[in-house]
Amino acid sequence: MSSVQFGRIAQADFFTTTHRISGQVHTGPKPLSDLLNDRSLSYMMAVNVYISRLLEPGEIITHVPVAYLSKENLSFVVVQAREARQAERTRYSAQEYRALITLPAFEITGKFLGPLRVDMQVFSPAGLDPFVIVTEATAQIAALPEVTFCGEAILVNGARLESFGLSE
Amino acid sequence: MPKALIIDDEAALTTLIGRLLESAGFTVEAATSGTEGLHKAVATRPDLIVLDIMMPDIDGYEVCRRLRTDPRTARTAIAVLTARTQQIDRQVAFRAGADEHLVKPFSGKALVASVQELLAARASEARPLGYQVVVLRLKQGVGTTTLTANLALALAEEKGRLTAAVDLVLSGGQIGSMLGLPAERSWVESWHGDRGMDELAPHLLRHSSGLFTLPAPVPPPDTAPPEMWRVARLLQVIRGWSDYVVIDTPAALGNLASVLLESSSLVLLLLGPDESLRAVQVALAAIKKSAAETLQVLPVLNGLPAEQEVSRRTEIQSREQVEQVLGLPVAAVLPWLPGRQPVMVSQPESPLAAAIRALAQQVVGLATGSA
Repeated sequence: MSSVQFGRIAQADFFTTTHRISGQVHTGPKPLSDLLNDRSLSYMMAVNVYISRLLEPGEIITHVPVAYLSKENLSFVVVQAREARQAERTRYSAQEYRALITLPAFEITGKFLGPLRVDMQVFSPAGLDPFVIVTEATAQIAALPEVTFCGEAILVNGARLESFGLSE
Repeated sequence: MPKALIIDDEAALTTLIGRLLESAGFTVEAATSGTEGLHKAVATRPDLIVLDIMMPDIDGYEVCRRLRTDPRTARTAIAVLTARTQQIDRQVAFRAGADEHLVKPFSGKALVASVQELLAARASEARPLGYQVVVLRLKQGVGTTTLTANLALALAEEKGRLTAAVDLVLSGGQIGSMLGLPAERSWVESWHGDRGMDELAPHLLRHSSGLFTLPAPVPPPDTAPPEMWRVARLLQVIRGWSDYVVIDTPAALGNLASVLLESSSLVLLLLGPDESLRAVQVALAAIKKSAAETLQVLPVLNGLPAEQEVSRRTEIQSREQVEQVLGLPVAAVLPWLPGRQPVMVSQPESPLAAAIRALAQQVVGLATGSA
């Protein structure tokens, strides 16, 4: 028996250090970023999932109708424009910074909306949401720097950060 | 009215795109899986295929590759429509053979405009019959098969162009085995030409380079050679479908001569160092007598004696000598063409491969009138 899902469906690309996972997530009335940042959920269900290996990120190796994604093992998520706008609306941010983030296997550049004044001496990414929003973002695979992934926004897993650089 | 086939596993989206295309004047067929799409593409021969990538049974890239592998659909315009929107996804789609990469979500207007533009671009490339090159030899063992295979592979590197290598050495042609594509069934007994490419498609084998090959039957047929009208129809169908046709021929052409010389645009006469230039002159006179006026004949030298060996008693000593005696420009001097595997595959960066690419460029220049 099929069930009817109400609410939003977010199409997104989820990246781990080894795979690119394209799929849809039913997010209910909220944006995908809220689901990612919900600390009470360790897993997230995606449907109509297509998996590629990171070293051949354009080639689809398999399809599964449903997959559970371990949020702590996601490196980042590339979202479409509507998701990005929704995610940004939920921030209480005032100042735009250039961000350069490194994660295991990836480099991400883009814009980070932060507090009016970020004092890097006291600023800590630990104070941010679990998934940090970087807009107008580009992710590169460190081992294949010619391969880039662009999105209106990339939601970066703060727990996977190696470095988080900001400049005005 | 142009025909479109939509292949997408989301039925609602298929219906939506179908309505958009119908309102733009298309007749529309739809398939909701890659497998069904492949069947419908062959059955309905659409002008345009709108192809989803993320489909459960066969993904769109694989559908695209298979469509390009089948001679019946190799020329169909394919627009990929996908939620995989990254640059790498575009690259993979184009590598798989797509002509256009459109992204979801999409605007109906933009989708229709894009596919109309794609079809208009196709229409403006109204194609003459494929440019047919015959590789001739006067002696056994000078390397016509090797040249045919390599030249065809070099021409197949031209993006967006279809090239066919045809092996008319019916008594034991080697192009199929050289390319790793041995004929599993013989066209000689079954080909009548009534159904054109539908009839020929099972015999045209695709090499991983994109080159299509009509291998000679293995083992050679024990029936009589095909009637010449059947060979003529065969070449007509292949030329109607391809941009370039390169034909390997037996040393003794017999009745094939008139069919080949009438239908071809270029003869490459492959000469080894021990060739008798007098015999070549006689052959050239015979070719000119029975060929169409537009036929061009160019000698290709397969190996010249190295400078220190010039004293060796070969008839052919230099390019200039051949050009002077025959009164024709030599199209290429190739280092000796080695046997079994085509250098275009095994040593694509070698000087020999470069010389063959240069020869292929000359052929392209002659075909397009830019030479």
